[in-house]
Amino acid sequence: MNKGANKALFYMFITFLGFVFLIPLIYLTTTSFTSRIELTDFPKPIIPKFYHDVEFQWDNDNNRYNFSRLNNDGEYELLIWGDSEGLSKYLEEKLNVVMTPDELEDEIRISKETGDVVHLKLYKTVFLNYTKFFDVFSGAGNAFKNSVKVAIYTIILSLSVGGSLGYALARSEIKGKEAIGIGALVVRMFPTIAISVSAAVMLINFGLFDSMIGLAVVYSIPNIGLTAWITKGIFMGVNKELEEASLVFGATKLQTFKKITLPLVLPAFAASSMYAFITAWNDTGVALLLTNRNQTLALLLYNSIGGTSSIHYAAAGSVLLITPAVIFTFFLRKYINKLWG
Amino acid sequence: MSYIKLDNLKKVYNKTIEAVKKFDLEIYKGEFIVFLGPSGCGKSTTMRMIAGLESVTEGDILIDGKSIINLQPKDRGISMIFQSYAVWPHMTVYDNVAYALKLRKKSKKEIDKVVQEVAVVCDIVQYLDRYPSQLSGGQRQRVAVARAIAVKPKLFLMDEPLSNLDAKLRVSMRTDLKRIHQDLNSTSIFVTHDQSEALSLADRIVLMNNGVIEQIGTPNEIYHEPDKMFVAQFIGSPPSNFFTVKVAKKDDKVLLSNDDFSFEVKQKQKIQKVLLKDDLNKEIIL
Repeated sequence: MNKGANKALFYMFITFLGFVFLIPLIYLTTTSFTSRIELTDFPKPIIPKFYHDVEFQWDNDNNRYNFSRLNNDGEYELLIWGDSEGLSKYLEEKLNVVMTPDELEDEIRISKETGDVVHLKLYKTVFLNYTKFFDVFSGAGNAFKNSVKVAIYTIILSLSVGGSLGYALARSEIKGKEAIGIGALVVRMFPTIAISVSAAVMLINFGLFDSMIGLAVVYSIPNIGLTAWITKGIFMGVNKELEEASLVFGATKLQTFKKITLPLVLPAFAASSMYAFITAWNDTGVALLLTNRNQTLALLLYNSIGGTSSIHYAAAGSVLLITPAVIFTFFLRKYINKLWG
Repeated sequence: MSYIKLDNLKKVYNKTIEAVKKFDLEIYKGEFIVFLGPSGCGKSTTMRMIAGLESVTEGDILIDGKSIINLQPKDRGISMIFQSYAVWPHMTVYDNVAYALKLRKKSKKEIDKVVQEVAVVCDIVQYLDRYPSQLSGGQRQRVAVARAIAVKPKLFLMDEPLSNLDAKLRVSMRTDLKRIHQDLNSTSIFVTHDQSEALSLADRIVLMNNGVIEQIGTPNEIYHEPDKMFVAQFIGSPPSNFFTVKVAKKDDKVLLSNDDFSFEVKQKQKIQKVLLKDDLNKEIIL
């Protein structure tokens, strides 16, 4: 095979892979901007539409407006009839268009006066699904806060305990070092959900059930081992002479750790904190078992997706769930690049 | 009077491994001392004990008459150049050189003055804003030197500083190090396993093997009058020849002979006498 064909195949493969990863995300994002009425549209647009083409016609016999919308097949489909008040409500609920009855009346009065059809382009309120998400699912705001809290606690716990363990495994001469290291890793080998029941009992005993700290403790269990192993490798990679030089040139041991060792191992901590964050942020199963009223965002979404009529709100919630994780990962990327880039 | 005194120094690892068995040395101010010896002979360990990076098992180290073995490395008034240079990769060259001065709470102006000064001495002025990863091995080495001289130490320690450089650079850095030593009139200890470095740099060489000092002397003494067989073996390129000979007395002559040749000792009476004592012994000459 010649070089060109090889290259073409390669790019085809890459594009295919890209789509495999991206299509669900695109679908989700698009859905988070769609209104109730568009959910049933087929085919679904890749790029969300931000307006509706609609027409209003005054129906003299029944003393009401008939309202139709241009659907995907290019036909105006009669959806509902009523006065401007009823229509305003309908627009907000089903089309994500926010208009007061008076504003609407101003726009469509011509039809009443002349009997003509009024064509309008109605713009959606772009982030209506997102604001609605917080309205419809009571406690979504709290759940978001809970998620942030539990993620931060998990990062702090796994980094402080795991990082210290990693340092000890790399630098000290304790007996049974290997066993401790492997033990920390073994904990990672089974899913956290497997220990959830016993964890629940223990958390209840400690009074930490249904609290974010209790949840963070459970999330930290697998991450401590992982962090220990990541940081152990990096601590071992730091040339001892760098620290010794610092000692010789006037620093105490603590200053040396702060000014020399820590900056050099920062990428490892960045990577570990990313793993810790993702564990805490993405989990639903453990949270389901270990919390009661204090839901996390992921758990709330898990519960909300069941209601089919609100799928567009759930999509908005999902995007809200994904975005912080993406931002956090991209923010840390530059540190992690220093390590493996 | 001696400036630095190493008194009966001993280092034992894990209670069993004797890295340094007995080390006695007096160093005078302004001297350039080289610790020379094969790998694992304890020369680096000795240096690290002086630096405070290893604890001392037995013995004492005195600088200016004061014992320093219970002081932290930072309080010993020494500076060190490491084999790997140990230039901190996350700091610019400027920060590397200024590190020790900042820790000593010097004013910004003072620090800047010193840094610029040593940068000129070490020829790194144009690299001050760079990071070590952007420098070559030789340039990094000079940064390490600049950092070491910035603190104006009582004693300069160099742990095989040239072994990571290419052959040509090694020779020119050697000259630079010696020049800096002379310019600053500092006292230096230099560890190496490279005899040409030792012979060219040292005021006095301390030749070590298996944790003990084999001989202390000027390069000339070490080269021309080795005390022990090990010294003779170690120094010289190509190495010295050794022959196993029998000592015999024929008439008035003292003969050294083996299967291939025989050699008459005509020199001083003293040597003849010594030889005759160990009659018919296996003897080794150089």
